[in-house]
Amino acid sequence: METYDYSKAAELVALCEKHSLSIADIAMRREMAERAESAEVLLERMRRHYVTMRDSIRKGLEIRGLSPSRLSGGDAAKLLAYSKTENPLLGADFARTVAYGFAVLEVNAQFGRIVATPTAGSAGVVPACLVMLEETRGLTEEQCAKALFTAAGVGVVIGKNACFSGAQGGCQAEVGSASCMAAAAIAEAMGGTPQQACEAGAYALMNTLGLVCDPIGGYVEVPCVSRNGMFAVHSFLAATMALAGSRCVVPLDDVILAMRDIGRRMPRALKETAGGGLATTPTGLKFPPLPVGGAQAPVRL
Amino acid sequence: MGFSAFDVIGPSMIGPSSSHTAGAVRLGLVARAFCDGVPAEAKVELHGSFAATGAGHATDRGIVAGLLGFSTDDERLRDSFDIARACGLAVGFSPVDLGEDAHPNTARISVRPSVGDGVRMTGASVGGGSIRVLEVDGFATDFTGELDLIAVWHADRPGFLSRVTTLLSCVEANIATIHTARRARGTDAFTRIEVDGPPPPEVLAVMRRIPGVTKVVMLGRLF
Repeated sequence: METYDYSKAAELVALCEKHSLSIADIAMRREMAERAESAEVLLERMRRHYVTMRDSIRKGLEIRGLSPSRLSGGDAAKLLAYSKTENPLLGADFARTVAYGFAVLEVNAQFGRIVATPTAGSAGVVPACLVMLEETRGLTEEQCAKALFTAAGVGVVIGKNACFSGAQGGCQAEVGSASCMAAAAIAEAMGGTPQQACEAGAYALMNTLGLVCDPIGGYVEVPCVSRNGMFAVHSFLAATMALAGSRCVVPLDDVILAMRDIGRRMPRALKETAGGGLATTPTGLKFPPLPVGGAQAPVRL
Repeated sequence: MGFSAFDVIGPSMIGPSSSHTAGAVRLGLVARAFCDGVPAEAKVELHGSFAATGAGHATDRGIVAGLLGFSTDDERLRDSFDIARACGLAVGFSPVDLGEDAHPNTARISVRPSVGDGVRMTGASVGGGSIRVLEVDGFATDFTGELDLIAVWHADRPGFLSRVTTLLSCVEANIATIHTARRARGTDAFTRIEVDGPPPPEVLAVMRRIPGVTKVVMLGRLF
Protein backbone atom coordinates (compact mmCIF):
# COMPACT_ATOMS: atom_id res chain seq x y z
CA MET A 1 0.00 0.00 0.00
CA GLU A 2 1.18 3.48 -0.90
CA THR A 3 2.38 5.50 2.08
CA TYR A 4 1.57 9.15 2.39
CA ASP A 5 3.33 9.74 5.68
CA TYR A 6 5.95 12.47 5.98
CA SER A 7 7.88 14.29 8.69
CA LYS A 8 9.21 17.36 6.90
CA ALA A 9 7.60 20.05 4.75
CA ALA A 10 10.09 19.22 1.97
CA GLU A 11 8.88 15.59 2.03
CA LEU A 12 5.27 16.79 1.94
CA VAL A 13 5.93 18.98 -1.12
CA ALA A 14 7.79 16.09 -2.81
CA LEU A 15 4.79 13.78 -2.19
CA CYS A 16 2.47 16.41 -3.68
CA GLU A 17 4.64 16.73 -6.77
CA LYS A 18 5.09 12.97 -7.19
CA HIS A 19 1.33 12.34 -7.14
CA SER A 20 0.26 15.69 -8.63
CA LEU A 21 -1.89 16.30 -5.56
CA SER A 22 -2.48 19.21 -3.20
CA ILE A 23 -1.35 19.32 0.43
CA ALA A 24 -4.99 18.80 1.46
CA ASP A 25 -5.19 15.65 -0.72
CA ILE A 26 -1.98 14.20 0.72
CA ALA A 27 -3.13 14.97 4.28
CA MET A 28 -6.43 13.19 3.57
CA ARG A 29 -4.77 10.15 1.98
CA ARG A 30 -2.39 9.87 4.91
CA GLU A 31 -5.41 9.81 7.22
CA MET A 32 -7.29 7.29 5.02
CA ALA A 33 -4.32 4.92 5.09
CA GLU A 34 -3.92 5.14 8.87
CA ARG A 35 -7.58 4.98 9.90
CA ALA A 36 -8.98 2.79 7.12
CA GLU A 37 -11.74 5.36 6.61
CA SER A 38 -13.12 6.75 3.36
CA ALA A 39 -12.44 10.25 2.04
CA GLU A 40 -16.15 11.03 2.47
CA VAL A 41 -16.15 10.11 6.17
CA LEU A 42 -12.99 12.14 6.86
CA LEU A 43 -14.19 15.15 4.90
CA GLU A 44 -17.54 15.05 6.71
CA ARG A 45 -15.80 14.94 10.11
CA MET A 46 -13.69 17.96 9.13
CA ARG A 47 -16.76 19.74 7.73
CA ARG A 48 -18.44 19.37 11.12
CA HIS A 49 -15.39 20.95 12.75
CA TYR A 50 -15.65 23.81 10.25
CA VAL A 51 -19.33 24.35 11.09
CA THR A 52 -18.47 24.44 14.82
CA MET A 53 -15.77 27.03 14.06
CA ARG A 54 -18.18 29.22 12.09
CA ASP A 55 -20.80 28.92 14.85
CA SER A 56 -18.21 30.01 17.40
CA ILE A 57 -17.52 33.15 15.34
CA ARG A 58 -21.24 33.96 15.10
CA LYS A 59 -21.72 33.47 18.85
CA GLY A 60 -18.65 35.55 19.66
CA LEU A 61 -19.91 38.47 17.58
CA GLU A 62 -23.03 38.56 19.78
CA ILE A 63 -21.15 38.68 23.09
CA ARG A 64 -21.82 41.93 24.94
CA GLY A 65 -20.96 41.01 28.55
CA LEU A 66 -17.57 40.50 30.14
CA SER A 67 -15.95 37.14 30.89
CA PRO A 68 -15.82 35.91 34.54
CA SER A 69 -12.31 37.41 34.90
CA ARG A 70 -13.59 40.72 33.38
CA LEU A 71 -10.57 40.69 31.06
CA SER A 72 -12.45 40.21 27.78
CA GLY A 73 -15.84 40.45 26.14
CA GLY A 74 -17.63 42.66 23.63
CA ASP A 75 -14.67 43.72 21.51
CA ALA A 76 -15.46 41.40 18.59
CA ALA A 77 -18.83 43.14 18.30
CA LYS A 78 -17.13 46.58 18.38
CA LEU A 79 -14.73 45.57 15.60
CA LEU A 80 -17.56 44.22 13.46
CA ALA A 81 -19.51 47.47 13.97
CA TYR A 82 -16.41 49.46 13.00
CA SER A 83 -16.00 47.35 9.85
CA LYS A 84 -19.50 48.44 8.82
CA THR A 85 -18.82 52.17 9.19
CA GLU A 86 -18.52 54.31 6.08
CA ASN A 87 -14.78 54.27 5.56
CA PRO A 88 -12.97 51.78 7.80
CA LEU A 89 -9.17 51.64 7.60
CA LEU A 90 -7.94 49.41 4.75
CA GLY A 91 -11.53 48.43 3.92
CA ALA A 92 -14.25 46.48 5.69
CA ASP A 93 -12.61 43.05 5.32
CA PHE A 94 -9.63 44.12 7.39
CA ALA A 95 -11.55 44.90 10.60
CA ARG A 96 -13.95 41.99 9.95
CA THR A 97 -11.07 39.48 9.85
CA VAL A 98 -9.83 40.83 13.19
CA ALA A 99 -13.37 40.70 14.62
CA TYR A 100 -13.67 37.02 13.70
CA GLY A 101 -10.41 36.11 15.45
CA PHE A 102 -11.53 38.02 18.55
CA ALA A 103 -14.94 36.34 18.45
CA VAL A 104 -13.66 32.77 18.82
CA LEU A 105 -11.42 33.62 21.78
CA GLU A 106 -14.19 35.59 23.49
CA VAL A 107 -16.39 32.50 23.20
CA ASN A 108 -13.54 30.39 24.58
CA ALA A 109 -13.16 32.72 27.56
CA GLN A 110 -16.89 32.43 28.33
CA PHE A 111 -17.00 28.63 28.34
CA GLY A 112 -18.44 28.32 24.84
CA ARG A 113 -17.78 25.62 22.26
CA ILE A 114 -14.69 26.00 20.05
CA VAL A 115 -12.40 23.72 18.05
CA ALA A 116 -8.81 23.60 19.31
CA THR A 117 -6.83 24.61 16.16
CA PRO A 118 -4.21 23.54 17.10
CA THR A 119 -4.93 24.66 20.73
CA ALA A 120 -7.79 26.43 22.50
CA GLY A 121 -5.63 29.54 23.01
CA SER A 122 -4.99 29.82 19.27
CA ALA A 123 -8.42 28.64 18.14
CA GLY A 124 -9.39 31.89 16.40
CA VAL A 125 -6.79 32.28 13.68
CA VAL A 126 -7.65 29.48 11.23
CA PRO A 127 -11.46 29.87 11.57
CA ALA A 128 -11.29 33.65 11.03
CA CYS A 129 -9.30 33.16 7.82
CA LEU A 130 -11.46 30.38 6.38
CA VAL A 131 -14.79 32.02 7.19
CA MET A 132 -13.49 35.20 5.51
CA LEU A 133 -12.65 33.12 2.41
CA GLU A 134 -16.12 31.56 2.47
CA GLU A 135 -17.76 34.97 2.70
CA THR A 136 -15.55 36.99 0.37
CA ARG A 137 -14.29 34.40 -2.13
CA GLY A 138 -17.28 32.10 -2.33
CA LEU A 139 -15.58 28.98 -0.98
CA THR A 140 -18.10 26.24 -0.20
CA GLU A 141 -18.27 24.50 3.20
CA GLU A 142 -16.62 21.50 1.59
CA GLN A 143 -13.77 23.62 0.20
CA CYS A 144 -13.27 25.12 3.66
CA ALA A 145 -13.15 21.60 5.12
CA LYS A 146 -10.50 20.73 2.53
CA ALA A 147 -8.58 23.87 3.47
CA LEU A 148 -8.61 22.55 7.06
CA PHE A 149 -6.81 19.47 5.73
CA THR A 150 -4.20 21.79 4.19
CA ALA A 151 -3.83 23.45 7.61
CA ALA A 152 -3.58 20.05 9.29
CA GLY A 153 -1.11 18.80 6.68
CA VAL A 154 1.30 21.59 7.58
CA GLY A 155 0.44 21.35 11.28
CA VAL A 156 1.58 17.73 11.32
CA VAL A 157 5.10 18.87 10.36
CA ILE A 158 5.14 21.35 13.25
CA GLY A 159 3.80 18.76 15.69
CA LYS A 160 6.42 16.21 14.68
CA ASN A 161 9.38 18.60 14.74
CA ALA A 162 8.48 21.14 17.41
CA CYS A 163 5.33 21.53 19.55
CA PHE A 164 2.00 23.38 19.91
CA SER A 165 2.07 24.05 23.63
CA GLY A 166 2.62 27.48 25.13
CA ALA A 167 4.01 25.83 28.25
CA GLN A 168 6.73 24.20 26.12
CA GLY A 169 7.35 26.69 23.32
CA GLY A 170 5.70 30.01 24.15
CA CYS A 171 3.01 31.68 22.05
CA GLN A 172 5.04 31.19 18.87
CA ALA A 173 4.16 27.48 19.25
CA GLU A 174 0.44 28.26 19.61
CA VAL A 175 -0.54 31.34 17.62
CA GLY A 176 2.61 31.05 15.49
CA SER A 177 1.66 27.51 14.49
CA ALA A 178 -1.97 28.48 13.92
CA SER A 179 -0.91 31.37 11.69
CA CYS A 180 1.50 29.14 9.76
CA MET A 181 -1.30 26.63 9.16
CA ALA A 182 -3.80 29.35 8.21
CA ALA A 183 -1.40 31.01 5.76
CA ALA A 184 -0.75 27.70 4.01
CA ALA A 185 -4.48 26.96 3.87
CA ILE A 186 -5.28 30.39 2.39
CA ALA A 187 -2.49 30.10 -0.21
CA GLU A 188 -3.60 26.64 -1.33
CA ALA A 189 -7.30 27.54 -1.37
CA MET A 190 -6.45 30.56 -3.57
CA GLY A 191 -4.73 28.38 -6.15
CA GLY A 192 -1.18 28.45 -4.83
CA THR A 193 1.09 25.43 -5.36
CA PRO A 194 2.13 23.20 -2.43
CA GLN A 195 5.49 25.01 -2.51
CA GLN A 196 3.78 28.39 -2.30
CA ALA A 197 1.58 27.15 0.56
CA CYS A 198 4.71 26.16 2.48
CA GLU A 199 6.31 29.54 1.70
CA ALA A 200 3.20 31.22 3.09
CA GLY A 201 3.51 29.09 6.23
CA ALA A 202 7.20 29.93 6.50
CA TYR A 203 6.54 33.67 6.20
CA ALA A 204 3.84 33.48 8.87
CA LEU A 205 5.85 31.45 11.37
CA MET A 206 9.12 33.32 10.73
CA ASN A 207 7.44 36.53 11.74
CA THR A 208 6.00 35.16 14.99
CA LEU A 209 9.32 33.75 16.25
CA GLY A 210 10.04 34.78 19.81
CA LEU A 211 6.44 35.39 20.88
CA VAL A 212 6.17 34.55 24.57
CA CYS A 213 3.18 33.17 26.51
CA ASP A 214 2.58 35.63 29.37
CA PRO A 215 -1.20 36.02 29.71
CA ILE A 216 -2.54 38.01 32.65
CA GLY A 217 -3.63 35.92 35.63
CA GLY A 218 -3.05 32.79 33.58
CA TYR A 219 -6.38 33.45 31.82
CA VAL A 220 -6.51 32.75 28.08
CA GLU A 221 -7.58 36.36 27.38
CA VAL A 222 -4.96 39.14 27.50
CA PRO A 223 -3.21 39.19 25.08
CA CYS A 224 -4.70 36.00 23.57
CA VAL A 225 -8.01 37.47 22.35
CA SER A 226 -6.47 40.38 20.42
CA ARG A 227 -3.56 38.25 19.29
CA ASN A 228 -5.88 35.80 17.55
CA GLY A 229 -7.53 38.68 15.69
CA MET A 230 -4.24 40.28 14.69
CA PHE A 231 -2.61 37.06 13.57
CA ALA A 232 -5.55 36.17 11.35
CA VAL A 233 -4.59 39.28 9.37
CA HIS A 234 -0.94 38.26 9.63
CA SER A 235 -1.87 34.95 7.95
CA PHE A 236 -3.42 36.80 5.02
CA LEU A 237 -0.26 38.92 4.75
CA ALA A 238 1.93 35.81 4.61
CA ALA A 239 -0.30 34.19 1.98
CA THR A 240 -0.26 37.41 -0.04
CA MET A 241 3.54 37.43 -0.08
CA ALA A 242 3.72 33.78 -1.14
CA LEU A 243 1.08 34.18 -3.86
CA ALA A 244 2.95 37.23 -5.15
CA GLY A 245 5.99 35.00 -5.62
CA SER A 246 8.07 36.76 -3.01
CA ARG A 247 10.92 34.48 -1.88
CA CYS A 248 11.04 33.63 1.83
CA VAL A 249 14.71 32.41 1.70
CA VAL A 250 14.41 30.25 4.84
CA PRO A 251 12.36 27.12 4.07
CA LEU A 252 9.49 26.14 6.39
CA ASP A 253 11.42 23.18 7.83
CA ASP A 254 14.20 25.50 9.00
CA VAL A 255 11.75 28.03 10.42
CA ILE A 256 10.15 25.23 12.45
CA LEU A 257 13.58 24.23 13.78
CA ALA A 258 14.19 27.86 14.75
CA MET A 259 10.84 27.94 16.57
CA ARG A 260 11.79 24.81 18.51
CA ASP A 261 15.22 26.23 19.36
CA ILE A 262 13.81 29.56 20.58
CA GLY A 263 11.10 27.74 22.57
CA ARG A 264 13.71 25.67 24.40
CA ARG A 265 15.78 28.75 25.27
CA MET A 266 12.77 30.80 26.36
CA PRO A 267 12.67 31.35 30.16
CA ARG A 268 10.06 29.37 32.08
CA ALA A 269 8.58 32.59 33.46
CA LEU A 270 7.43 33.42 29.93
CA LYS A 271 5.91 30.04 29.13
CA GLU A 272 2.33 29.90 30.45
CA THR A 273 3.22 30.26 34.14
CA ALA A 274 1.91 33.81 34.71
CA GLY A 275 5.41 34.39 36.14
CA GLY A 276 6.59 37.29 33.97
CA GLY A 277 5.88 39.71 31.15
CA LEU A 278 2.34 41.10 30.99
CA ALA A 279 1.23 38.86 33.86
CA THR A 280 3.54 40.54 36.39
CA THR A 281 3.05 44.16 35.32
CA PRO A 282 1.15 46.39 37.81
CA THR A 283 -1.96 45.91 35.65
CA GLY A 284 -1.44 42.17 35.34
CA LEU A 285 -1.17 41.73 39.08
CA LYS A 286 -4.63 43.27 39.55
CA PHE A 287 -6.14 40.11 38.07
CA PRO A 288 -5.18 37.20 40.32
CA PRO A 289 -6.41 33.68 39.52
CA LEU A 290 -9.97 32.83 40.68
CA PRO A 291 -10.46 30.63 43.76
CA VAL A 292 -11.22 27.02 42.87
CA GLY A 293 -14.88 26.14 43.28
CA GLY A 294 -16.08 29.31 41.56
CA ALA A 295 -17.82 32.50 42.60
CA GLN A 296 -20.81 30.59 43.92
CA ALA A 297 -19.26 28.34 46.54
CA PRO A 298 -20.48 24.77 46.16
CA VAL A 299 -21.68 22.69 49.08
CA ARG A 300 -18.79 21.62 51.31
CA LEU A 301 -18.64 17.99 52.41
CA MET B 1 2.29 7.63 12.17
CA GLY B 2 1.94 10.07 15.06
CA PHE B 3 -0.04 13.31 14.82
CA SER B 4 -3.28 12.70 13.02
CA ALA B 5 -4.93 15.60 11.18
CA PHE B 6 -7.58 15.41 13.90
CA ASP B 7 -4.96 15.85 16.62
CA VAL B 8 -4.02 19.12 14.92
CA ILE B 9 -7.61 20.26 14.19
CA GLY B 10 -9.74 19.41 17.24
CA PRO B 11 -11.09 18.42 19.64
CA SER B 12 -14.36 20.31 19.55
CA MET B 13 -14.52 21.42 23.17
CA ILE B 14 -15.70 23.95 25.73
CA GLY B 15 -13.00 26.50 26.54
CA PRO B 16 -10.82 27.89 27.72
CA SER B 17 -8.04 25.25 27.83
CA SER B 18 -7.69 21.77 26.35
CA SER B 19 -5.54 20.52 29.23
CA HIS B 20 -7.30 22.34 32.07
CA THR B 21 -10.90 22.05 30.81
CA ALA B 22 -11.37 19.18 28.33
CA GLY B 23 -8.99 16.89 30.26
CA ALA B 24 -10.78 17.74 33.52
CA VAL B 25 -14.14 16.71 32.03
CA ARG B 26 -12.64 13.34 31.06
CA LEU B 27 -11.28 12.76 34.58
CA GLY B 28 -14.78 13.46 35.92
CA LEU B 29 -16.27 11.01 33.42
CA VAL B 30 -13.94 8.24 34.63
CA ALA B 31 -14.89 8.92 38.27
CA ARG B 32 -18.60 8.81 37.34
CA ALA B 33 -18.23 5.48 35.53
CA PHE B 34 -16.22 3.93 38.39
CA CYS B 35 -18.70 5.20 41.00
CA ASP B 36 -21.09 2.50 39.73
CA GLY B 37 -24.21 4.51 40.48
CA VAL B 38 -25.30 8.12 40.07
CA PRO B 39 -22.81 10.27 42.04
CA ALA B 40 -24.38 11.97 45.07
CA GLU B 41 -21.27 13.31 46.83
CA ALA B 42 -17.82 14.14 45.54
CA LYS B 43 -14.64 15.44 47.07
CA VAL B 44 -12.19 16.86 44.53
CA GLU B 45 -8.58 17.53 45.47
CA LEU B 46 -6.52 19.56 43.00
CA HIS B 47 -2.74 19.47 42.77
CA GLY B 48 -0.23 21.85 41.17
CA SER B 49 -1.36 24.00 38.27
CA PHE B 50 -4.88 22.55 38.59
CA ALA B 51 -5.05 24.10 42.07
CA ALA B 52 -3.28 27.35 41.10
CA THR B 53 -5.12 28.30 37.91
CA GLY B 54 -7.87 25.68 37.77
CA ALA B 55 -10.78 28.00 38.47
CA GLY B 56 -9.87 30.49 35.72
CA HIS B 57 -9.55 27.55 33.35
CA ALA B 58 -12.83 25.99 34.54
CA THR B 59 -11.06 22.86 35.77
CA ASP B 60 -13.54 22.70 38.67
CA ARG B 61 -16.62 23.14 36.45
CA GLY B 62 -15.12 20.65 34.01
CA ILE B 63 -14.70 17.92 36.63
CA VAL B 64 -18.27 18.50 37.83
CA ALA B 65 -19.48 18.35 34.19
CA GLY B 66 -17.75 14.98 33.86
CA LEU B 67 -19.29 13.76 37.13
CA LEU B 68 -22.67 14.70 35.61
CA GLY B 69 -21.84 12.67 32.48
CA PHE B 70 -21.42 15.62 30.07
CA SER B 71 -19.08 15.30 27.08
CA THR B 72 -16.12 17.67 26.51
CA ASP B 73 -18.14 19.82 24.08
CA ASP B 74 -21.33 20.06 26.13
CA GLU B 75 -22.13 23.74 26.74
CA ARG B 76 -23.83 22.90 30.05
CA LEU B 77 -20.25 22.85 31.47
CA ARG B 78 -20.66 26.58 32.15
CA ASP B 79 -23.56 25.88 34.55
CA SER B 80 -22.33 22.56 35.91
CA PHE B 81 -22.27 23.78 39.57
CA ASP B 82 -25.93 24.82 39.39
CA ILE B 83 -26.93 21.65 37.55
CA ALA B 84 -25.10 19.52 40.14
CA ARG B 85 -26.97 21.27 42.93
CA ALA B 86 -30.29 20.73 41.15
CA CYS B 87 -29.42 17.03 40.64
CA GLY B 88 -28.51 16.53 44.30
CA LEU B 89 -24.78 16.14 43.67
CA ALA B 90 -22.74 17.84 46.43
CA VAL B 91 -19.16 18.68 45.46
CA GLY B 92 -16.34 20.04 47.64
CA PHE B 93 -12.96 21.24 46.38
CA SER B 94 -9.64 21.53 48.17
CA PRO B 95 -6.01 21.98 47.15
CA VAL B 96 -3.62 19.10 47.79
CA ASP B 97 0.13 18.54 47.47
CA LEU B 98 0.72 15.12 45.90
CA GLY B 99 4.49 15.61 45.81
CA GLU B 100 7.18 16.48 43.29
CA ASP B 101 6.58 13.44 41.12
CA ALA B 102 2.91 14.15 40.49
CA HIS B 103 2.03 15.73 37.14
CA PRO B 104 1.18 19.46 37.62
CA ASN B 105 -2.36 18.90 36.36
CA THR B 106 -3.46 16.16 38.74
CA ALA B 107 -6.84 15.65 40.44
CA ARG B 108 -7.85 13.16 43.11
CA ILE B 109 -11.57 12.54 43.03
CA SER B 110 -13.56 10.66 45.70
CA VAL B 111 -17.14 10.05 44.67
CA ARG B 112 -20.04 8.20 46.28
CA PRO B 113 -23.52 7.27 45.07
CA SER B 114 -26.47 7.72 47.47
CA VAL B 115 -26.25 3.98 48.26
CA GLY B 116 -22.93 2.13 48.05
CA ASP B 117 -19.22 2.65 48.53
CA GLY B 118 -18.15 4.73 45.54
CA VAL B 119 -14.57 5.10 44.44
CA ARG B 120 -11.43 7.20 44.81
CA MET B 121 -9.25 7.80 41.76
CA THR B 122 -6.25 9.95 40.85
CA GLY B 123 -5.58 11.11 37.32
CA ALA B 124 -3.64 13.72 35.40
CA SER B 125 -4.51 15.85 32.39
CA VAL B 126 -1.37 15.50 30.31
CA GLY B 127 -2.00 17.97 27.46
CA GLY B 128 -4.38 18.58 24.58
CA GLY B 129 -7.26 17.00 26.52
CA SER B 130 -5.50 13.65 26.97
CA ILE B 131 -5.56 12.06 30.42
CA ARG B 132 -3.86 9.31 32.40
CA VAL B 133 -5.56 7.60 35.33
CA LEU B 134 -2.89 6.44 37.75
CA GLU B 135 -4.62 5.24 40.91
CA VAL B 136 -7.98 3.64 41.70
CA ASP B 137 -8.96 2.87 45.32
CA GLY B 138 -5.28 2.74 46.29
CA PHE B 139 -4.31 0.41 43.42
CA ALA B 140 -1.64 1.67 41.01
CA THR B 141 -2.89 1.56 37.44
CA ASP B 142 -2.32 3.44 34.19
CA PHE B 143 -4.77 4.02 31.35
CA THR B 144 -5.80 6.84 29.01
CA GLY B 145 -9.47 6.20 28.23
CA GLU B 146 -8.70 5.99 24.53
CA LEU B 147 -10.01 2.39 24.42
CA ASP B 148 -13.12 0.78 25.88
CA LEU B 149 -12.24 -0.46 29.34
CA ILE B 150 -13.62 -2.99 31.82
CA ALA B 151 -12.61 -2.41 35.46
CA VAL B 152 -12.94 -5.30 37.92
CA TRP B 153 -12.57 -5.17 41.71
CA HIS B 154 -11.99 -8.70 42.98
CA ALA B 155 -10.25 -11.02 45.44
CA ASP B 156 -6.73 -12.12 44.46
CA ARG B 157 -7.42 -15.80 43.76
CA PRO B 158 -5.96 -18.38 41.36
CA GLY B 159 -7.86 -18.70 38.10
CA PHE B 160 -9.44 -15.28 38.07
CA LEU B 161 -7.73 -14.00 34.93
CA SER B 162 -8.29 -17.25 33.12
CA ARG B 163 -12.06 -17.06 33.78
CA VAL B 164 -12.25 -13.44 32.66
CA THR B 165 -10.28 -13.99 29.47
CA THR B 166 -12.29 -17.13 28.66
CA LEU B 167 -15.50 -15.18 29.09
CA LEU B 168 -14.28 -12.43 26.76
CA SER B 169 -12.99 -14.90 24.19
CA CYS B 170 -16.47 -16.50 24.09
CA VAL B 171 -17.89 -13.26 22.66
CA GLU B 172 -14.78 -12.65 20.52
CA ALA B 173 -13.91 -9.44 22.37
CA ASN B 174 -10.32 -8.56 21.55
CA ILE B 175 -8.25 -7.69 24.63
CA ALA B 176 -5.77 -4.89 23.93
CA THR B 177 -4.17 -4.76 27.38
CA ILE B 178 -4.80 -6.30 30.79
CA HIS B 179 -3.25 -5.32 34.12
CA THR B 180 -3.83 -6.46 37.71
CA ALA B 181 -2.71 -4.67 40.85
CA ARG B 182 -3.16 -6.17 44.33
CA ARG B 183 -2.50 -4.91 47.82
CA ALA B 184 -0.76 -8.12 48.90
CA ARG B 185 -0.90 -11.80 47.95
CA GLY B 186 -4.37 -13.24 48.54
CA THR B 187 -6.01 -9.91 49.43
CA ASP B 188 -8.03 -7.68 47.17
CA ALA B 189 -7.09 -6.64 43.65
CA PHE B 190 -8.05 -4.36 40.77
CA THR B 191 -7.86 -5.43 37.14
CA ARG B 192 -8.33 -3.19 34.14
CA ILE B 193 -8.97 -4.72 30.75
CA GLU B 194 -8.78 -2.57 27.63
CA VAL B 195 -10.82 -4.02 24.76
CA ASP B 196 -11.30 -3.12 21.09
CA GLY B 197 -15.03 -2.40 21.24
CA PRO B 198 -17.47 -2.82 24.14
CA PRO B 199 -18.60 -6.40 24.95
CA PRO B 200 -22.36 -7.08 25.29
CA PRO B 201 -23.76 -6.09 28.74
CA GLU B 202 -24.63 -9.74 29.48
CA VAL B 203 -20.91 -10.48 29.62
CA LEU B 204 -20.45 -7.94 32.40
CA ALA B 205 -23.40 -9.49 34.27
CA VAL B 206 -21.76 -12.92 34.09
CA MET B 207 -18.40 -11.43 35.11
CA ARG B 208 -20.02 -10.09 38.29
CA ARG B 209 -20.89 -13.71 39.21
CA ILE B 210 -17.30 -14.95 39.06
CA PRO B 211 -16.40 -15.99 42.64
CA GLY B 212 -14.51 -13.22 44.44
CA VAL B 213 -15.62 -10.42 42.11
CA THR B 214 -17.06 -7.48 44.04
CA LYS B 215 -17.60 -4.87 41.33
CA VAL B 216 -17.43 -4.59 37.54
CA VAL B 217 -17.82 -1.37 35.58
CA MET B 218 -17.56 -0.51 31.90
CA LEU B 219 -15.91 2.74 30.81
CA GLY B 220 -16.70 3.54 27.17
CA ARG B 221 -13.81 5.11 25.26
CA LEU B 222 -13.55 8.83 25.96
CA PHE B 223 -12.20 9.84 22.53
